[in-house]
Amino acid sequence: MRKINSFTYDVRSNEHIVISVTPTGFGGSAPDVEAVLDGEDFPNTGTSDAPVFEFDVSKPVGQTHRVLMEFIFFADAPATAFYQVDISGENDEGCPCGFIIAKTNPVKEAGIRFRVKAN
Amino acid sequence: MKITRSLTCGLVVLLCLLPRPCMAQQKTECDLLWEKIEELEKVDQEGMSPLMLELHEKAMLKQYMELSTCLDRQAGTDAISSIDQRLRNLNKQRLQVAGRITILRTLLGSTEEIARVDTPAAATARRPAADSGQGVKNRPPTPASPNAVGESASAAANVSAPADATPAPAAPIQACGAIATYENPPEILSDLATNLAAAVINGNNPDLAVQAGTQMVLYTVLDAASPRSSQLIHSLEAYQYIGETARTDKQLGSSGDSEGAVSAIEKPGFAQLLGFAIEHGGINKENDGTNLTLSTSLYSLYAVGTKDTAENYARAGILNRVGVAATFAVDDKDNELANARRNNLSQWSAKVRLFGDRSSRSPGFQKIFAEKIKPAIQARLRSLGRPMEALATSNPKYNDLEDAALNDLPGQVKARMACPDYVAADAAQKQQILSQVILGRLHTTVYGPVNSHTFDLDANDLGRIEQEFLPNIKEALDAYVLADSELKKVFSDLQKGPLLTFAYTNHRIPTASDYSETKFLFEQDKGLFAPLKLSANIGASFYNRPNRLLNQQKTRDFFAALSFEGTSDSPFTEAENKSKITYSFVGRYQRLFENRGVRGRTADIGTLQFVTEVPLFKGLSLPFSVTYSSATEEEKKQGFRFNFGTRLDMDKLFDLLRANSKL
Repeated sequence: MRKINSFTYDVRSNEHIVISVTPTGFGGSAPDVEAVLDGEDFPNTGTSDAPVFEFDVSKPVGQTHRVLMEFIFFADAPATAFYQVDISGENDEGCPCGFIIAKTNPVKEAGIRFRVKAN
Repeated sequence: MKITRSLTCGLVVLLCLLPRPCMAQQKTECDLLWEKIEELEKVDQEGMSPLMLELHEKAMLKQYMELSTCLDRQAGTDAISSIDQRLRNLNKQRLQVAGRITILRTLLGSTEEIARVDTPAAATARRPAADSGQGVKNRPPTPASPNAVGESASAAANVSAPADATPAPAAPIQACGAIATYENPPEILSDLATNLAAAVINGNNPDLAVQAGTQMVLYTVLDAASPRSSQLIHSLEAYQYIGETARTDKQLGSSGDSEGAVSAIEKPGFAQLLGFAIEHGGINKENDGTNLTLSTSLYSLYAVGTKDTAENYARAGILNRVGVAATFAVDDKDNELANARRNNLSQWSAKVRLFGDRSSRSPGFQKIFAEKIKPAIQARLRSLGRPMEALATSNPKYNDLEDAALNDLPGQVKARMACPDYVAADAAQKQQILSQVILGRLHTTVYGPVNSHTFDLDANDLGRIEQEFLPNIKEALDAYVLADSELKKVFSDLQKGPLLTFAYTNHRIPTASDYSETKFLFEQDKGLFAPLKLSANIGASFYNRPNRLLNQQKTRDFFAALSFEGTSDSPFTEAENKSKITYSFVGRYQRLFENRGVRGRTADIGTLQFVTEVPLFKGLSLPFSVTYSSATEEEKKQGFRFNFGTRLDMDKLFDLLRANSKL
């Protein structure tokens, strides 16, 4: 996987991509992250306290996998709460890859592109 | 004397305004201009008349603008020679000069564009490296410089061009000023762009400009696809994210019977303790002028040693339920933490939550969230993801469209953030500038190609956009908004549920006997007495070492208290301030065993109290109480007592200051 910017990555066919989310500073407030992959529900294979979203690159070269995510901050979340999103694949270039969505960020959604490139 | 000074000033200004007979060599010219500016800067403005002052500022502006041109020209020459260090210095000087020009223009109320003094050479030198397409609407296209990347001459060229290279690092100085504009963007898009601009500024991270890039590209395609689709997307309103409200918790006070306490009843207050302690790095402090209370939870202490992640919180188990606090008498007003010493310790306490959970982790809340709210969040994401997937499948150039819009946007934003006018702008102006950069980029790279059919949508795509995608987005958004409103209601109800806490307090009395107090604290907002909130305390206290000479025995007292609390709107607060007047009626009974058989004292002490707190304006409120007692612990004498004070809510004051700083 090669980083273009925090929300765009070049990936190879069949590469296994893992998006792990670490909710931090939530205290007694519950974290929650929802995601869709290519327009369909993207299940969390981790826990609600440590969400993990993973998939294998299955599209042909030239196409793009899109992951849309929404990060929930309930009203009892401290102002300092944030989600740290780590994205990893195989033979990563330009990483650490990922981003942070803080409660203070007015945009609580993200769109991540994984462009399939030739090996 | 004053006349002489005015004349000298006038002479200097006049000399500066006079046209110069010849131009010296470049380096000398810039240096001379710097010297002239220094002379002008030195002129004492104190004795100047308003007219002279204006002349002086005009002269300064003129010199600075000439210097700007000179530096631009020199930077261009040096760039060719690849003298990086020199170029960096010149760029730094150019930033300073441009900043001064902005200030002087503001002082003079001038709207002159810097472009007026630009020579063709200067304009070339100032052309951006990361994006030279900024004036698509306002300037004729010009050939991009060799290192330029982006949408300079033709957006369509970009759509078809492969864009798989990592964006080139942005040049330190960019062409600033006019950029491509997106006239009348849909509200849902402009709101997203504005919020992303705020995110970039808050996080000082240009990458955040593309945080929801795929969504913005889709909205732009839908706006450009057809008049009908444009009309439909313009009908969508900006939305608020699920769960976005202010925090509900407040500070934890010392116990109800400590010195300076206004109320005679103590609240369970556990949720407050947890969140607040964590937020403040483990320990929360509150100083009401009489008492300094330091509080924390066992979890927050545990988190200091590990990391405050949600996973660790879940793992901490019982530690989440225990809070501890210590209260110190305040005698050093200047250094409040100096009061936190053993001699000043008046009490310490521990609380354990036994029953009830008012947090979003409570099973009841989680069940409703999973059943009613989560599906709405997923549906909204699907309603966006599916059109992207469908459009990219039917027309692979959709991927190129995204690349053209998003790959270089962080670089373009970063470059714009280095522009002098951006640096000199206030927070709101910065947000507007970056929002325009984002929208301008979308217009150039997405709206233009789609609207002009360079990026072609076939009849099937158009039909699906109008008949399927946009109606689905609208339906999902409507459900999302309803879910948000339901969530707020559920959360509000959650705060009204029953809460039972056990509290242990150790009172340290320097002039008498220390004792321990145990009590159960109960609170319920939604129940038999609704809309009044019911609070109840029941407990007993015990002497650590009873003094028989003072008629003390092991059991000190038994007590019970009951409170009914309500709220009403305040006529004194600002329109946007939702703070309410709170009032409560409290009854308390105490049987103090050591007073039995003592002349002038009674063992049975009853208290009735009315407490109110009136918010005046954001951050300030007036608490007031009137108490009737049948006796006190010291004497059998009934009477009234009045307590009156002011309360400052630092959270609200901080919010107010932050809001003002954005103006």
